[in-house]
Amino acid sequence: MKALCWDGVNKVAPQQVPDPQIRNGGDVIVRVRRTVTCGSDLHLLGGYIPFMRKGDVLGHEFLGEVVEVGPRVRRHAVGDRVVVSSFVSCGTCWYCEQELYSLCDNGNTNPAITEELWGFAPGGCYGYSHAMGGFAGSHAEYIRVPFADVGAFTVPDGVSDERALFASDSAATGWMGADLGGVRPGDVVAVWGAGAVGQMAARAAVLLGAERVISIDRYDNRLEMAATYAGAETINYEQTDVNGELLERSGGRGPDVCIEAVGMEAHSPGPQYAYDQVKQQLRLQTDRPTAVREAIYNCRKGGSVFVLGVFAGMVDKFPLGAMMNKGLTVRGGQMHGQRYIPMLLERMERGELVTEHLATHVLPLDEGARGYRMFKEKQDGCVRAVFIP
Amino acid sequence: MKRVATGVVMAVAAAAVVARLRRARGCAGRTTAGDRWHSVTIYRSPEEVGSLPEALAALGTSIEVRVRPAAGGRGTELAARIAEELPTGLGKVAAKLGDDDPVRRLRRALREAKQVAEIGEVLLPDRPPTTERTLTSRPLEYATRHGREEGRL
Repeated sequence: MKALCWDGVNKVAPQQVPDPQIRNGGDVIVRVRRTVTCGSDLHLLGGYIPFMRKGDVLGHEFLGEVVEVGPRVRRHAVGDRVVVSSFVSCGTCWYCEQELYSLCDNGNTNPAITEELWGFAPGGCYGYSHAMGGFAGSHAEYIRVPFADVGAFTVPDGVSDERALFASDSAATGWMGADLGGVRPGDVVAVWGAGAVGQMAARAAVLLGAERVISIDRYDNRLEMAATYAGAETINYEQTDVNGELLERSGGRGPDVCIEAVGMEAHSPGPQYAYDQVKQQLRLQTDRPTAVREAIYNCRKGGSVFVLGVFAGMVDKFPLGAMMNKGLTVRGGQMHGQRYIPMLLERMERGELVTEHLATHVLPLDEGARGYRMFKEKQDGCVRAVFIP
Repeated sequence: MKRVATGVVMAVAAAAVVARLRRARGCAGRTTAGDRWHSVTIYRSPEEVGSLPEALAALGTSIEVRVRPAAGGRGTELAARIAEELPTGLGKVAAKLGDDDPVRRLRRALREAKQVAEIGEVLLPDRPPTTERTLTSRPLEYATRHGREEGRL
């Protein structure tokens, strides 16, 4: 089959690879109908997460049709149109029982790597390196989906492929940030990053009753989307002083909940950007935590910060003093998609959550390299490049 | 009070299981230099876990096993350690290079025992692989080959 593969640092290429096979009783094989780039893929492409091998299939956010089922699958049959959570989770371990699906004990076939890195291993993730299980990704004609009864969800007839696709990861991640960040009616919420996940987090905050939701980014087209589709106010951090603006818009208190949806390759107009870049390129720190620092600094006393952006390892100049002395609650996490996807599909069907606008560029898989280039460089207003295998 | 009583019953039952397993392996009370207890928590009751899981039973008398209820109703703590002298120095290196490291076998057996108890089978990696071997991929290839045998367990 055809697949878009990691071919080295900053190199992706369409290749012919073997078809996936049923390996466990709970597996299904899905023919991929739509699969989409994610900002976290750029960390793999850039070599910041050094657990990729030449030929690894990329992609973790996808939708398709079931074409083969394993003998223990009960909820799905050939022909089902499904959207699949990007995390591989068993559904029966203690973590899954607590609905912390991305922390599944049984979803990662290589737990040793992340145990050494982080102390304990989270679950697996499609197309996201051998540290996360080494599962082949979705930028391919077909993909194996383990634990399909737990991680694959039948898409209601009233929801299009174009909309349901983003329930797989972006919408679930954004929703988790607002939900576990503790957004309550009347809150002021600030969201760093107006990419797909940031927009979804902003929309979730609005739907959970926040009174003011403020999206922060440097790209006007993304901020316009956040305003139009999420109902958020906006701040362009290259044109406005974020700290002053957040104070003014929150009556001097600071936002109640601050959601970071940027990750380890953050930008900033100040000198700290150069500092972080130098340290990251010299591998003296693995991640650039600019937006995390801002979120912690600006959050109100006793407020909540949720880190949605992907980080790999160590950071420098983490504002521990602000976190401790202001009594903040800081949480983070990969997304627990299985917890949110059914509810998100219902909201999509009712029209409360729209996502089609995120797919600014739709391309055949053969043009994957171009899609990633446009996505990485934000060319032509690219927010997400969707591939059709 | 009911909870306390249940806890006592569970603890007694667990102690009995430990004693039985130790007797079965002829290594009761022996301390093995060089190895520690390696432990997994299985989200199933000791009754559901039952007798010695197959993956551990396969290691025969080379290991010592301990089973007890996990705190807070988290299931069953299954722990094991090597009951034989462990290779040291060059012997240890040779065992690792020759895929003959007893601690690695033990870690894999514990992880597989947990998976079989919780999900009914062991999650397998994708096959056939889509990757190609390169000189720089060798260390990662080695790490993933032992992905269930190393780590902090």
